[in-house]
Amino acid sequence: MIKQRYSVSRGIIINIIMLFILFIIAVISINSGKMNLSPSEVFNVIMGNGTARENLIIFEFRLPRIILSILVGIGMGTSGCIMQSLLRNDMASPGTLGISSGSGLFVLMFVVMFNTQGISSAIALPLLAFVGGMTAAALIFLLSYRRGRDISHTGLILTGVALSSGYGALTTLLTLKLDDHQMDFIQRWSAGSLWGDNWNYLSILAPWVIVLFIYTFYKSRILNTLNLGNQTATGLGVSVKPEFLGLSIAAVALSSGSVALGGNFFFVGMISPHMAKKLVGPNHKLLLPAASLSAAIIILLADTITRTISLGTDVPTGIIITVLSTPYFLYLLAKAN
Amino acid sequence: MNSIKAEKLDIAYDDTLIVKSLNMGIPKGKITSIIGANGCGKSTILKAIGRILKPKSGLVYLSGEDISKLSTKDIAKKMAILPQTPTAPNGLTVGELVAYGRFPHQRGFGNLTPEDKKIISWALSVTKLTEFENREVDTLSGGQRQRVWIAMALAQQTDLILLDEPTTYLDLAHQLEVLKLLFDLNRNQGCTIVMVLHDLNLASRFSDYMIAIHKGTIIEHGSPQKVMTREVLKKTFHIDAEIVNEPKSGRPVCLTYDILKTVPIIPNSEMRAFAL
Repeated sequence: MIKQRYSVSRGIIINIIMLFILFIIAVISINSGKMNLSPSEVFNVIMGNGTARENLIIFEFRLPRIILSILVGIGMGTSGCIMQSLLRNDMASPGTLGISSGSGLFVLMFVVMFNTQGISSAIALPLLAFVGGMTAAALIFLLSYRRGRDISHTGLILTGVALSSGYGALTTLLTLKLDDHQMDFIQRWSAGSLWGDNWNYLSILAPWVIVLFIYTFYKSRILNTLNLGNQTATGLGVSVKPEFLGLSIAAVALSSGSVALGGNFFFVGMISPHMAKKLVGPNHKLLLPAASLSAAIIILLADTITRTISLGTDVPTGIIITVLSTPYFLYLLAKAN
Repeated sequence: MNSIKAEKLDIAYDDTLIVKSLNMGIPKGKITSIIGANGCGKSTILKAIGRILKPKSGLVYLSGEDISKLSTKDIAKKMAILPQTPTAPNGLTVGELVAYGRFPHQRGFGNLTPEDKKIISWALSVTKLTEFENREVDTLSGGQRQRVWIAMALAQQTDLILLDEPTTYLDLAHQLEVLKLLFDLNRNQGCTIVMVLHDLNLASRFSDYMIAIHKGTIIEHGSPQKVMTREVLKKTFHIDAEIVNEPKSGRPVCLTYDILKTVPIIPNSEMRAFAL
């Protein structure tokens, strides 16, 4: 009898290990930064015995940032995983399909017109990003959908890339109107800056991401069948149209929430589902948590590195991720051929 | 007794009408093959009766019930359909794929019950795949892979299985293996089988009932003896076929054939000179 490469028990163990790794990185991350705190000091602060300064560092700066990294990771990982399974295309992700750029354009318009402080923008930003993302998704669908035919893989990605650069052009056009401060914000945002790291933003993003993740996880059986192709899924009794639509909306919503508050992490949404598939196989009950956890690990690790290693100026987290994941992406491309 | 009945079916892609006003019956408990030239609409008809493609107008009845009134999940409990050359994601095992066949019978999060597991191992043993349960689908040969998909359809536990060209890309032995499996399922389990087939002789050998389609309309339907005739094949494929009875089974087979002589494309010598 041949041993199964991806058994359920193995998948569960891998997920638990990843959760543990994420926890370790979170602990390291909370200890390190411009001002290092020892683990015992951090423990004291969490138990409520910290000085005002320590409290400020932990509760107002580091903890929200860690939580934001994890939420953005869950959002991007789940969203990329849904897109790859629905479209049966390993290159699909919020980044490659231009959905993040669509969300980004709307975020930018908001930044140009209003300032970005306060609770109202905490609600408005993800919603606007969602509208932008849905617009982008609808455009892609209209441009690449042919009735009665399967959507061509390369056609879809090409459309996404084309739309992305279109949004990029519009974004550049808008940035001409910005002052230095706004310009700086946009540049850092588009590189992935994890800027929404205060409790106001998190109180919106957390339920947004968690509810959508639970919805998607509940639909993992549907995702498993849709991954066999729409016709086979219909044969198995899946109502393909409503399920496809519901899951697409969830994917766009997850990515736009993350994009709005985290920034444009181009690669994470594509690479983390890949790594997850390698680790736990194609069953979505294991794959969805694994993709979320690996994305969270990537972002949190990159953020910890950026905050620890002083590179002279403030470097956006996304740059580290891009630098780290480009080789992996090239490896995937080489393997695909 | 008909398992499926189609009434005045119009099927179209966009605005091109592929099938017009089709009336058709599929006999219950039999093996039915749909034959016809490329692009004649045979796969389209199979998809329409399998509710993968929505007909423009007309009705399809599944054991007397209008399928447009049934939920897709309820249909999946009565009818399994395998599209042409389905693909499984990397890393999926045979056992997992066959387990997906239980989908229409599951609810909520869909953990497998002992009953489900029993049916899955039955489907695996009927298709002689038990030893491959933990193998990944993409590591199997074409013939084995086709058997896995059939096993998935079997796990659906339906009385009716539709297959779109189940022998495509298979060599002679594997084609026979798949068809013999379907034949056994029909004779032993009483499954009604409907398939689109390209190979006329295999269709004749394994079918109880054949339907010849040309340009979306039925040329002839009935027993292989009735359909496998020179006249019918002339209308269906534009071929001039030599039909003989195969000594072993007594079924008609096409011994050899030629393309039917048609009006020359370039009618006279002047025109030919002009064209050259």
